[in-house]
Amino acid sequence: MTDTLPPAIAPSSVALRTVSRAGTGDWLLLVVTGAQLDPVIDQLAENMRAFGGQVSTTDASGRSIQEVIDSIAASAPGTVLLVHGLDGLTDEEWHHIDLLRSRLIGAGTIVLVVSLVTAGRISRSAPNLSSWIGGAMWTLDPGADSLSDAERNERLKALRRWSKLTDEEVVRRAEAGSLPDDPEYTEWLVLLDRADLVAPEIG
Amino acid sequence: MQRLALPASAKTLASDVRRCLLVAADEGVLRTPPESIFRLLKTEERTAERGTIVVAMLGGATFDKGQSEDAFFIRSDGARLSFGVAVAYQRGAEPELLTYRFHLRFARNGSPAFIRLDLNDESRDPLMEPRSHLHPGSDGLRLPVPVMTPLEILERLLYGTPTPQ
Repeated sequence: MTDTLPPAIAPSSVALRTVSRAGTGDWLLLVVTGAQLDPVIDQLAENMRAFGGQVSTTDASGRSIQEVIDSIAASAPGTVLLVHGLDGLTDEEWHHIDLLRSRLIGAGTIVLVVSLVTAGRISRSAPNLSSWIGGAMWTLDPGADSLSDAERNERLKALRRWSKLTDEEVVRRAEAGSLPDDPEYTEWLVLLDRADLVAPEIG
Repeated sequence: MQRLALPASAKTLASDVRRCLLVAADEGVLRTPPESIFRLLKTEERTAERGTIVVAMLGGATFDKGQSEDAFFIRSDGARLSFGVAVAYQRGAEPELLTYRFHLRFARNGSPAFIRLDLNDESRDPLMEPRSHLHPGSDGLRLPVPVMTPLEILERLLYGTPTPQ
């Protein structure tokens, strides 16, 4: 591990990799930068469950090393445990965890969700744990499963060329109920954040 | 329109579609590698009135106008696949398929050059234009076909629609 960011990965991709290898003793490390952690953890867990994974999460904030180790050791083989709240641990504490690593053998698939600083600490102070992680470390890109602004603009340009309409005309016609019914217009309205013009009144 | 059995959550719907494409790549039916499948399949979620979530799954380019292969899922026989699906999810109600478009352009200059399965928005008079229809190589020709789930269509286009000889 280094102090540079590992390769970026989408939530769906990390979910598939995690669930497809769920067994015993698999360790993955996800670096999260510049994002609120709670929605990221929820997003990861939801993606993993959608692929059929049995997922639980644990927040290690404010807990002792012993408690953190106990919670990881208690995760059942074949399940995935997302561990976050580890950024308060010092180099010495990671070294301590490394020394107690035999207690972690036999756990399920463990995903450590940490900052880049913590990834560096693990690399420096927990070399054996690092070897368990190996190359299974990425930087999570929470928005990678959605369109980027550039991709969204390219699609809108293609739709305008195809229809010879402007965004404003499409919205106006949708509001008036005179928009053609082709599926491309649904995509257009969603891209314009006008889902209210495509969603039916259900129920 | 008949209610189809759709996954209960938008995330599961996207995962099912993603897994279908990844399995096709694993089996060699698609030559698009897994990392490109993740790049090409995007999900846009928007919240409409009364908490309804509209999910658009966009796989590849909106239109196939001869652009680079990078913008499409490529079958092992060279056929190019792209699609867009919109589904509405509302708490306490069954998911509702709003529209879809699945476009398969064959690699050789055969006939038809492409097929496209469309599910239009529901507002038009179905006697004027069938809401669910197939374009067999012509934008102006529409043949009525049953509505299918996104996975049913994907499986047919990946495994059951060989290039015309």
